[in-house]
Amino acid sequence: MTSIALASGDWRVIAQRLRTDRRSLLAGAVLAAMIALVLLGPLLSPYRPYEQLDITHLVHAPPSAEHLLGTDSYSRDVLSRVLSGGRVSLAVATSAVLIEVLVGVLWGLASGLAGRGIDTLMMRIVDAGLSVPRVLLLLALLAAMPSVPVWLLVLVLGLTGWFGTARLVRGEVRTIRGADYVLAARALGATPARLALRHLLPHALGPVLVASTLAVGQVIVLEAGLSWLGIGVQPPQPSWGNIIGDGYEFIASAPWVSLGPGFCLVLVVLAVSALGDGLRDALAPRQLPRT
Amino acid sequence: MRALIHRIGQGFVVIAIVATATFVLIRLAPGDPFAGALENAHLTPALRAQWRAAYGLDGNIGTQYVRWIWALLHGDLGWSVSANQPVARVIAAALPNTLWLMGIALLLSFGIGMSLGALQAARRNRATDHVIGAVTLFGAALPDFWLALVVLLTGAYWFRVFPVGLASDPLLPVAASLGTVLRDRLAHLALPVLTLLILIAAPVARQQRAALLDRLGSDWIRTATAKGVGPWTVFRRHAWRTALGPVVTLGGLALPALVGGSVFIERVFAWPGMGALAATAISTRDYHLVVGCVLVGSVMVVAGSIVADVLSQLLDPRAMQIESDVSRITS
Repeated sequence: MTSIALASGDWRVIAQRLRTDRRSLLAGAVLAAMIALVLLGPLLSPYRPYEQLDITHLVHAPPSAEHLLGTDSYSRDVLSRVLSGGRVSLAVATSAVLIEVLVGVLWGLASGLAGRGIDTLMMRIVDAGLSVPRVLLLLALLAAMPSVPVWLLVLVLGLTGWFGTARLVRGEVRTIRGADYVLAARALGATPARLALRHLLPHALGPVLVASTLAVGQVIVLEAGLSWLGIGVQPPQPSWGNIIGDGYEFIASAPWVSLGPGFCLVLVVLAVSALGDGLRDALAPRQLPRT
Repeated sequence: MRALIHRIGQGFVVIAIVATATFVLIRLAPGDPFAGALENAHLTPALRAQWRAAYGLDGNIGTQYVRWIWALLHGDLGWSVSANQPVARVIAAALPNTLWLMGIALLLSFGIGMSLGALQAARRNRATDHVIGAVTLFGAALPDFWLALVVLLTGAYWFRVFPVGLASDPLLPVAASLGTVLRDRLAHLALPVLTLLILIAAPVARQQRAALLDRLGSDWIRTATAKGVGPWTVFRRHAWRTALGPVVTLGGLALPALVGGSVFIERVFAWPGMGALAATAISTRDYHLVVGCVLVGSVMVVAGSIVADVLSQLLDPRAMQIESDVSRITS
């Protein structure tokens, strides 16, 4: 029933609900500010993110007026690196989630429309994917590769995250594919592709939107974790994760190197998940499962 | 009972898919596990062939697959280059540490999380509810390794209350009394458990609150109240009891994230478990060990989710019934 209320015309209602939800507004504002900051990063950042300013005197300088977030073990300005790394982190996360959604939606639609045998097989694969801890899967994949350029990281992140979306879409398709209007469309000779995109997909869009908003937060954290382990974004290119990783070795003597990017990470992830929650409430108050 | 057997069968299918996928991954890896060593021009072709045979890399891919699965079934996960031991033995040494940590953290988290959620539901829309709600929303969204870093920094560096890492003090005398050993263990457990506690209790509390509120609005609660059952008894016997199912289900669903998160958390606290092992395996490019960790981690998750399913069915026999009804209608 949840999805029925979400027929395309209701987007204005949803936007209205979001606008009146204080938490979503705040989250949206924080997110917009962070995105603006990292996009304008090159203009705002006081130093170049790769520049080793003074390797003899400026190593691990604590936060000060010249270096708001201090400097790291190579005397680089942490704030400049955080601004530049934020671009990488956010870009990687959003692109990976786009891949997730694309693959998940297609898989879910195909599985939902397929006959029983193929549907079962496709869903068993999804079950397998969901039951392997994603971090472990990523470790196995990334460890197998000699080097990981950023585009490959995005691809790997995207291809390990679509299982939930697929199951979601498949569930929606299964519940409405017997509906009268779908039968009518089929009787009128609609092709399976048209049926899927025009009549079934719009109903699954709401839940998919919520899931993918929350997924952006998860992927930002995942990328940060992988980069922290040294198998994500490769230095010297900064990302929030590998800046935190750089600082981790010196956490006792120079905690600011990790704390600065970590704070940005937490802020963005909190904002994204609050926005996802708000979106869920706006789409179908109290009806979608809270996990 | 038949449902249980069916569910375990499903679990085996999933494990088989994971095993096959990891095999394909090994094969996809460019070159082979000791490509670097094989580039040595001094090696004779005969020696290379001997190496390949020793590591099971000769023959066509079908033979290799069968051989690999056969070895797996016998508990042979290959050879760990970094530990210079069989992978199975390395994992067997690390697994108990992880199970300890997870077990204690899960018990505490569910206890505390469910109490918080129940408190929220009982004090719905009042200050208590709002405060706990804000805290749990925050806790549920915190990145795991970040939280671990902050906990470590606070508990072991800024306030030097707890040890920095490891599961026990390596300098502890062998003849230390039981009390000393116990205190040492607990001190080492404190920070990682606290980290996991924040991460797990938060979503548990949220789920418990939602499930309780859902139950409190239902007809049988109104009936019980109308019959004159006191509010406390209604809450405990009619709402709490039926809200257990969804919370346990959440526990099953949260397992993959938990096992995955342990990679980061154990590494931060140098906790000698599966997660830290996987992280080390990555940094030393010990590929068989990585695969072994992935497989064992998946088995843990599959087994855990079966337990969660069985538990939630015992708690609410309708769950399985409804599920089978739904699948009958939809298929």
